[in-house]
Amino acid sequence: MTFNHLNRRVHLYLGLILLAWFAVYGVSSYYINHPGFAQKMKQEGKPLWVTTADRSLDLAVSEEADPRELASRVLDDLGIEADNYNAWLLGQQQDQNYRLFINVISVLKPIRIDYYINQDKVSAEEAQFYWTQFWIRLHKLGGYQHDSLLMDVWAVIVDIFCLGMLVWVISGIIIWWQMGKVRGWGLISMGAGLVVFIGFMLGL
Amino acid sequence: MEGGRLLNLILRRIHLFLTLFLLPWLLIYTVSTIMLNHNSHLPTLKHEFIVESETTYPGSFEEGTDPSVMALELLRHLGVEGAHQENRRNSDGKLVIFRLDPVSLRRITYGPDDGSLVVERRKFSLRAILLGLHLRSGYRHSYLIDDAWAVSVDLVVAALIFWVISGLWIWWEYKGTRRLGVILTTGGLAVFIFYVFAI
Repeated sequence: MTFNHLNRRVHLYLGLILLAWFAVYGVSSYYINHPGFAQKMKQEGKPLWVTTADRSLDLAVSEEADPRELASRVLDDLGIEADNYNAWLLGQQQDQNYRLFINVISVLKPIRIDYYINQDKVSAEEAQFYWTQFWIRLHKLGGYQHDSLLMDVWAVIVDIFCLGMLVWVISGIIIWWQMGKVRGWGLISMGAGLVVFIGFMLGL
Repeated sequence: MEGGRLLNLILRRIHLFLTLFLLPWLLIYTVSTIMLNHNSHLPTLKHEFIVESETTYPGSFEEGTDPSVMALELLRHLGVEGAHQENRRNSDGKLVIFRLDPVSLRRITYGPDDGSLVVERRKFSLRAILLGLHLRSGYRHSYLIDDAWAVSVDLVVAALIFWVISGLWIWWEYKGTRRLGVILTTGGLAVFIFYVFAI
């Protein structure tokens, strides 16, 4: 197998493995570039979030409470099974609005929970499914800050996609350069793109 | 040239030239995505500003003038009109304008009492520039150049979808790669679908 042959195969197969991610980032970026969905839903009277719990909850909370450990107890009490969530303690301990905010990460049904510690009150909201939100959630998913193996693996996949994209671009440039007939047109395309981009950097 | 071969050639050429044209956008989005994905491994991004000029605005504004009107007038006066955000600082009532220049973001502070006008520029930071460009989108500013940038983002969107479709077409044309291609495409899709339901 020659280098040229190998390069073409890498370019092709990389594109095929990462097909779903190309599509996700493409579709979701359209919705991000054309926002206004939330406003439209509001105008149509369709809620993005629906309250699923709003009741009293009295948990013993120490001053040095760990948000994640406390969140685990709140989730247990609400009967929500979740491994992928973030939790933050917000406000001052003596304030009435001192609360634990839990964000249950899910592509299909994310949940957000507010536990007002000094008011012994908890409320939970579940996102309604809309395709627009589904794509945007996938777009924003990533990072190694979550305390979850599943999320870490997704972050690795995002890294693989990015490295794959770089390899895909480089292998594409090699393929183009070896096609002697279109070198000129390719240079014009690349040059035009660069000029337009520099124009943006100077003009924006 | 027969129809099928002509279509094949056209798809391949668009696939190629679109990539070459959009190269700067692809590099920016890819590198900035790596940065966003590794945010927890990187130091917190702090914007440091350097004072560019300290002057006095020669004009004045009537009391109750809308901050957006004041911001526009001040940017025109400084010759840096463009996409911006403004807000009045509660602590001292000064008007703070951020001129959203992707390369050198500026912070302009105007004191309505004494007419003081301080222009600061963000210290050069490649990370801040790339992240700023990644997050810049939409047709929300009233400047043609910003709408043009949003059009370029739409072009990237169209290109990503086109690469998926044309890539599938080109692959199917290579009979020798069909089998492994099906395995890899299915494998990638299976991982993706698993994640949609697992997360």
